[in-house]
Amino acid sequence: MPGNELFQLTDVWLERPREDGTMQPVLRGLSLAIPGDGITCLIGPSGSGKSTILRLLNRLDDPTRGQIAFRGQELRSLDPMRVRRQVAMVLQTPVMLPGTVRDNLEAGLRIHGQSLSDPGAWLERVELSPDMLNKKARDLSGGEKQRVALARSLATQPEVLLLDEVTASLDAASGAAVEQLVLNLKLPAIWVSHNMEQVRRVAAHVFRLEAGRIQEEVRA
Amino acid sequence: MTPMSLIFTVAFVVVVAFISMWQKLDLERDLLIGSVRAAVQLIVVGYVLFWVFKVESWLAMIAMVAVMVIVATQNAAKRGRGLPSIHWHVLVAIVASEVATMGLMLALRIIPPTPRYVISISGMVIGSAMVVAGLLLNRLQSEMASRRGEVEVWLALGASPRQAAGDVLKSAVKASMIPSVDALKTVGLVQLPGMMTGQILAGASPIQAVHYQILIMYSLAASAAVCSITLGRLSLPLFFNRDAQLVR
Repeated sequence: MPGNELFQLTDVWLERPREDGTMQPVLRGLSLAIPGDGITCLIGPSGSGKSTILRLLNRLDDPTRGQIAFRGQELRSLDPMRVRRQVAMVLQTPVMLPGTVRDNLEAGLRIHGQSLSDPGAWLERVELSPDMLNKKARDLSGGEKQRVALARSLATQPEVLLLDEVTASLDAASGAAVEQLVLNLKLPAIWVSHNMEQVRRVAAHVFRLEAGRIQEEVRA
Repeated sequence: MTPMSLIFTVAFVVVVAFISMWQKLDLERDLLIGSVRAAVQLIVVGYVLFWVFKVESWLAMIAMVAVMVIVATQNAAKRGRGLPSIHWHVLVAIVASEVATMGLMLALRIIPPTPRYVISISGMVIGSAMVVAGLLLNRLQSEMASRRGEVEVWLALGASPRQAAGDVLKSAVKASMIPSVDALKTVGLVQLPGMMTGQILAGASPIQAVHYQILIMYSLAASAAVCSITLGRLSLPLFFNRDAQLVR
């Protein structure tokens, strides 16, 4: 329904400098309306600009040209730190902060002088044992790191989730658990995935990107 | 030392030049330039100091210290190439370390406010601040590059740039302070510092020389800390834009 978009991207261009100094277009006049209900999946080949869109929506980057609106308001006019607290992003390659798993889970709240009442419960929600709370986060396996990164973002109680291939490094059982967890949250989410089976299971809306443009809206 | 003995010191430079040629290190040109510059700079400074100490002018003393600060700033700021207006940030940090340490020494009457003391000790304080500033900028840039992912995770969680890069800044400040802290730990055991050696060679009692050296070591550590922390806090925002995005 027009006017009910979570994000509205209009003629968005993003260029990055190449090593020789010339500019490489990553997004080429992309226009996209992301609905506010359910999970929107972005699919497409590597390098088509899917992860770049998530960075723009989290305001880690701004477009070179074009406009992005969040719930009808120009994204650039909003306080970026506030936007990031509302719109949580989980990266494809999980980066653990220094310290323990507990430190990581509490990171988002500690910024605002708050603490997490039951960090163990967040680990259980991503199918991890609360016993690992005091483990060094950087000693975890790739799959464990991914789940801690997801729990770390969820612990900040965001209103929107940006998920970049979050189950790609997980085994089938853990991937299914994370998938179910995200579904149960009933939060609007933009999920980049290469796994078409997963897209069919979770997506309310699907957009295919190619070479920095929306190729088509696919029926979910 | 007689003028002839001074001329004989060129032998040391010849030894290095010979090793460089023998090992094909290609250092001869830099060595020649460095040796000539060192001799000219020190001789000029020697005569200028001779005049300043003689006239005991506050204005001349301040001018000398200002020249030291400007040269130190130029040199240290080279390590921060690419960071906008880094020269001003380095200048503020070096001035802060000089004002803090020299101000304390003068306020507590540890040294008399005469050019002989103020210029000599300022030279060491500013020199130390310059080295620390260069180390800090070098380390801050390499840490920001290698820990980019970590900083962006903090930003994505809603942290301010200062919160996001807090650990990175701490590591850089710590690394820049290592030479000062190591010097404190090993002074007298591994090396006899220049000032102490100079005083002993000039005929002062080693006990008297030690007193001054303790003063210098402590003030250099303070100057290093003030410079590193000031410069770190001032230059950290240069890595971000006003929308809290990591841009460098």
